[in-house]
Amino acid sequence: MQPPDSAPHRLLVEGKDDLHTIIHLMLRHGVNWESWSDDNKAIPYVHDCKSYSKLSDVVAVSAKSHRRLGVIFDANSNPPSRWNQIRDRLSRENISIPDSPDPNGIIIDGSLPGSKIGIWMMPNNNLQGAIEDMLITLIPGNDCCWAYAEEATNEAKSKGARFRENDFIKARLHTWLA
Amino acid sequence: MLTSLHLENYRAFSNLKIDDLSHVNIFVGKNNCGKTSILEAVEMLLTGSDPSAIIRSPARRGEIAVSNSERRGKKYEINHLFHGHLIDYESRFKIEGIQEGKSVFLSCEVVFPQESSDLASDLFENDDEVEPLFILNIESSERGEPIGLPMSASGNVFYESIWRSSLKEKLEIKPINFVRSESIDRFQISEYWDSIALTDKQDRLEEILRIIEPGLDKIAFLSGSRSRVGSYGVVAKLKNIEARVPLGSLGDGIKHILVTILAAVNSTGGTVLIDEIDTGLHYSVMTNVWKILIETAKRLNIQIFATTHSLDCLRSLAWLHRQNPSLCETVRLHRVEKESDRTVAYSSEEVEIAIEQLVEMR
Repeated sequence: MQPPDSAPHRLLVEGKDDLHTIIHLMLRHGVNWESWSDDNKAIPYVHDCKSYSKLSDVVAVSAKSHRRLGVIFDANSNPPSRWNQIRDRLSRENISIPDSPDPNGIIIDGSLPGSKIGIWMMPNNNLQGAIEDMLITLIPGNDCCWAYAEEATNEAKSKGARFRENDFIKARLHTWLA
Repeated sequence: MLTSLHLENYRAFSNLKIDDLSHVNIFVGKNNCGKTSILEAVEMLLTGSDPSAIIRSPARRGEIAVSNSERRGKKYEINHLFHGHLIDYESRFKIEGIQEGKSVFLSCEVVFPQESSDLASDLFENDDEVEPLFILNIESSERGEPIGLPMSASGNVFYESIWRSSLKEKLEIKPINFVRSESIDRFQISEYWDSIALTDKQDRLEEILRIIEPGLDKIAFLSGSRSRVGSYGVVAKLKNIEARVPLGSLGDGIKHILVTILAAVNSTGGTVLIDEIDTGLHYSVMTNVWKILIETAKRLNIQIFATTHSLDCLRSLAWLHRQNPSLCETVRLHRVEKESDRTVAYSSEEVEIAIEQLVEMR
């Protein structure tokens, strides 16, 4: 079964796309989110916070409530600002994270005894961007549809497709998937 | 107001620190994690100047052994207050706190008697529990002299010894009342009632009860033999019904609220301890119940300690915070965990965020 929202381990994401992406990536890496059971409580409940601002609101409360907590969010256009906001929220609970993200991701001790918190800022703990920018790195270099997806997305935009300039990569990825 | 608490070797806890206590404190946690023991520890600490402080919780829990002596009264099993239920020479538990910036404590230690007269030598005679005898040494910041009570090897103390030592010195204790979910002491509530009958407080109480039973007109307490049957001698008059009905006919929730509110108005400047605050209450009335309790605690300068299991109870608190965040500033939720030596505190704002984002705080 899927983990219930009361599951002891939790992974916070900003939105629905991220939720599905993470669940699929977990499955690719041998972790089936639907294999949660009373005897297998290690699988985290992946929680869609619905926005970055709600994710940053709930991160401190979650750190006090879960022995294992994962946090995944997008860097967007200003990576230091987003990182600092999460750092400030956690520091109020006496949890300290580095001033800037580690390219390998970070796992730190939480405030509860024996607890751990893992944090990853998309796409790669360094650059601007979002989860989609990480996903395109998984597309093989010689993929024939990827260049075509760019063309098609540009054409759609010129015909009035309603996505923001900032979301071009997201739109191109969805076009590629289609 | 108590701002922190530290329990050592007491009941379920070998060591537990509780910080960030506020005016209204709600304790949550799994079954048997010791929530009620925390309420009892507060009670024992704050009534520490009276030797009967140590038997209030054993009396409620039925930790009483069969006594062969009518004269000496009940035999309380004090050993259960010690972590692990067993006592030996030098066993000790301690409850410490910070109250108005000052350190307060109560400790109980098992010692050998220094003089044979300490034992009131005939005390355990003709009883199935004889030698060796210990002395239970009770020290409290609220009392100058320690109290020594004769105690059997297994940890029993006779009521008579407690009663005798309480005669020595009577010290004033600020009002403190314990509200239980299961049985309610009829005599206690009629005493509470006496203090509010035909005052504004009675009107206010009826107003509060109408949150749960909108059809309620008036309530009254019966004296005499009739009061020994039914619902603690409390009867209600409903607006559209001619006959009066026992309060118990209106459900457990209204009874629980009646006792809770009566306990609160009788604890001005003191403390109210409420075990399972949401007993018998539907979630739809719980937001109003919180509102009343928080307001009453503010108005009468009362510190409240309550326990709950219920998610609905926390949801209603989150809802109240959304409507009235400044009222809820004085509320703290504390999670008690068996395996941890600290409780985790949440502000009411955090409770609201956690409820919205489905974070399990219990």
